[in-house]
Amino acid sequence: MFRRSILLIPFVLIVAILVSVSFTTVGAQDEFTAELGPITQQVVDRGELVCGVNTGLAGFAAPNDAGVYEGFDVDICRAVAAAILGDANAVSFRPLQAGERQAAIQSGEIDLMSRNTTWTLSRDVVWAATFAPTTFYDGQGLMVRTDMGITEIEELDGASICVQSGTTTELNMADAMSSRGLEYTPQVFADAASTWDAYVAGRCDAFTTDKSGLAAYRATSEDPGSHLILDITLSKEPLGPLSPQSDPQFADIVAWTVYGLIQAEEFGITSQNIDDFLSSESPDIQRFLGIGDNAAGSYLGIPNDFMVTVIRQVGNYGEIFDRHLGPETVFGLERGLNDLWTNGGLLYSPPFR
Amino acid sequence: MSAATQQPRTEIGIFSFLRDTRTLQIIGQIIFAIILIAIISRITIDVLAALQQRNLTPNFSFLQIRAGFDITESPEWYTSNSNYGDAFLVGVINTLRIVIIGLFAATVIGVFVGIFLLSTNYLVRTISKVYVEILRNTPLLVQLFVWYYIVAFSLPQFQNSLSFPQEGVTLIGLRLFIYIAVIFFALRAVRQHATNSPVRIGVLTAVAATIFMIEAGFWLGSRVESWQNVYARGNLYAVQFLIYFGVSVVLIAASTFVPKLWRSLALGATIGQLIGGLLFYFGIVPNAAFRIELYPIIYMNIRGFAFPELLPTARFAEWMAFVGLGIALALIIYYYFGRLNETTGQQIPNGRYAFLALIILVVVGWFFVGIEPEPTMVPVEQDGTIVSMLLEDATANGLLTREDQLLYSRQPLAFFLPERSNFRFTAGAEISPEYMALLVGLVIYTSAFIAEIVRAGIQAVPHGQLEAARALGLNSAQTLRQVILPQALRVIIPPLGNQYLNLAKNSSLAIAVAFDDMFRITYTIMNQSGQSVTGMFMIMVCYLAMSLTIATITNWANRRFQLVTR
Repeated sequence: MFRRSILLIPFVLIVAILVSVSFTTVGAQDEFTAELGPITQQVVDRGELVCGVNTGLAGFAAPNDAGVYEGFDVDICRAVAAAILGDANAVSFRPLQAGERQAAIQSGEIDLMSRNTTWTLSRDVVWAATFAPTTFYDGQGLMVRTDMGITEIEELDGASICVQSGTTTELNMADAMSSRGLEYTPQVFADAASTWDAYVAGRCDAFTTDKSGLAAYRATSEDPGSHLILDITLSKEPLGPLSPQSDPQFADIVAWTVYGLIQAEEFGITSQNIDDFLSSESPDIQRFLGIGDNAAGSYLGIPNDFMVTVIRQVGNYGEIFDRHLGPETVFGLERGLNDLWTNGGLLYSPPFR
Repeated sequence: MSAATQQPRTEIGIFSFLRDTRTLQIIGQIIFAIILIAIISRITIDVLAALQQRNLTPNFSFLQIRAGFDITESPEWYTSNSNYGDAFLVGVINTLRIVIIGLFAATVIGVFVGIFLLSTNYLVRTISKVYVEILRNTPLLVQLFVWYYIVAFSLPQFQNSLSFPQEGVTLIGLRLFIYIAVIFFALRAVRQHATNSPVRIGVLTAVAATIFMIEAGFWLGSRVESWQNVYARGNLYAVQFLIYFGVSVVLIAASTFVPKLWRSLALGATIGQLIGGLLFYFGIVPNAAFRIELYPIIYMNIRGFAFPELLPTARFAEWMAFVGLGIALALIIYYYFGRLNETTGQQIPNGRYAFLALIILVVVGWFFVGIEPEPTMVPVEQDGTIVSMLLEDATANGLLTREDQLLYSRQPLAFFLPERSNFRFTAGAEISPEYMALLVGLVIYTSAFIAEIVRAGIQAVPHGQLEAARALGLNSAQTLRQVILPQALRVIIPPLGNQYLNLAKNSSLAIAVAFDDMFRITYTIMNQSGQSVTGMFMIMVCYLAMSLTIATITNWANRRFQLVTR
């Protein structure tokens, strides 16, 4: 009896393979074609946008005292929700660890990810994602305790450095150190909070992540004065939202919402003075806000005046930046690269035409 | 009745074979197989199609791509230029490091705690009970967090490492040796008295009180200013001394009126403290001390433990030949005398003889290997050129690399003490706090379960066996080793195997304490390469292979220890 069942196993497997091969040729993808892409349709049906955000990075995405998510990345999610659904609060946030991002975007668990994600070639292709325009130009930095008396990366030869796993930071660190001929020990943690805790406890000599992150951690630490961010940028880190590649129409909405935030700042339209612009005579502004016979949002299958809703509820790029990261916040970040092209920054929106 | 007997006849026809149970069983199995095939193939197709759509067709070619990340706990051959396959291999090695050492340690601790659980000593039994109950009733993850984030992180910073022994000059008081001698002779002197006899209690209390007084005197002298001149002052007419002496005499006299039960204790204490006081006051106790200069050999800090590294030198193989010979000789002696013991009943300590033979060969080998002198002139690299130089000079100037030192050493093994630089240890062996936290956490947790299994196994041996062993005159160690444990093992091994499997699989919790085990490294690989499905598959295959190996070994052990019945 035992021997017979052993013979049965290869037989079952062979049949399984044969059947699966024959099925693959038959199995056809049913294509649903409509004005709205599958993800946009899903968002509209659900009445809610599911947005993947950081598990907790002050300034970018972190729950406030009332338990509501707040931050720069969060407001990008809210802007897209306002564009599609007309309500900036129709967002459900899904906190994601760095290592969970690929699975979240591929499985369709989230519609949009706005979570300090660096735009790289391999991610664009392997994650099967479409990156929207960069919302935050960042660079990797290093932070040390001031009592160590270190000011140059060269002095960190032989040091151990705390880094979060599954990030470009992990790879950049290896490149930056080996190209300078420096030895170091990486100490890799699965989530950002334990990486930071280990650095504070003294497990590592240095802590590395994007500079904006360093500023955020330092600002929220017990004694911000005891940490020093080294004056060195190890890499280019363009951070932006991304959506699954399977829905180009949804990706367009995300992209043009981000461009809209930038364009609004360029026009000087804010959430406070938007009503003055509704009666603007300028054809550029009329096109941008979708007033009159101009088509804007209708190209994207969403309300024509979607930018009016977005600006009224969320504000323009500059307002979002100042609200969460600007000089009046604990982080006090300069605009730097994240300024309009007219001010020497990298933010540049194609025309709304 | 008649209807029932008639029915079978009417059913005779083409389908009559359907009434045969055997046929039905086969048909049932075929139907089941078809359903199974349909389900499996459906799932495979869907998964493959979905993956293909996302450019993620599972394959192993990505293992050749440069990994680009560094790993904390990696052998020297791994760098960020190695490929994903190498990184995975590092993970497998690290997992095995944890699992293999963990299995041994958990077994040893578990067996001891299990035996302690049945101890007749109340304190031992209760402590073991509390140990087991606390550890097996809290989640392992919580325990790992405690070991890492609370225990390991509370160690001092690298710059102020704990070290043993303390660096610098250590003074060992001469009186320490006198104390040891006095205690030794006092114990000898009271040996013939019963444990609770007044003489024994009195003498030992007196010795303890004497030592206490002397040490108290030195301690006060070093701390309190007014006590600094008391040692060896020896002034018979000092008022304080006379008061002290008087009070002591009164106390001794008073002690004789203490109830009988406490009298010897009180007398010993009062007389002892007076003797101690006099020895101190007249300076009879020597104050001299030995100066010993010590280098730390063990460091402990938040970056882990550092301890001397033991490396085989060029003469190691030669020495190992002696060791091998010793092992062979020891085995022969052990089995030969063991057989002689069994056949003739002669009591020969075969284990001791075998051990002696091994030790003799190991020591002789060590000296024999060292006979040949080291070369006098050695080539060393100085300022970029190779020059020939006296070995002593090269050593004194620190020009020898580690390889040179191993090559020229006269001993078969070389020690390298840990050396500290700015951020880390540049020599010596190191254990990271991550490794320690994971190992200790897993071992302690699993040992609690093993202890309960051992306790149950021992209790499963019928009480009559214990009584029979005692009746034969075996002592408790012999009873445990030769009667109880062999029978208990039959019950212990199967559940023990389960605990081993648990430990092996629980090692994947390494990710919680940032230890670079197979799972954590694969997690990084999957993130950087995007090959999640293949990565998961590789992890599953490795854990499966590890579990099957453990299961095979425990099954083999189980068969060996089962009761052989004919």
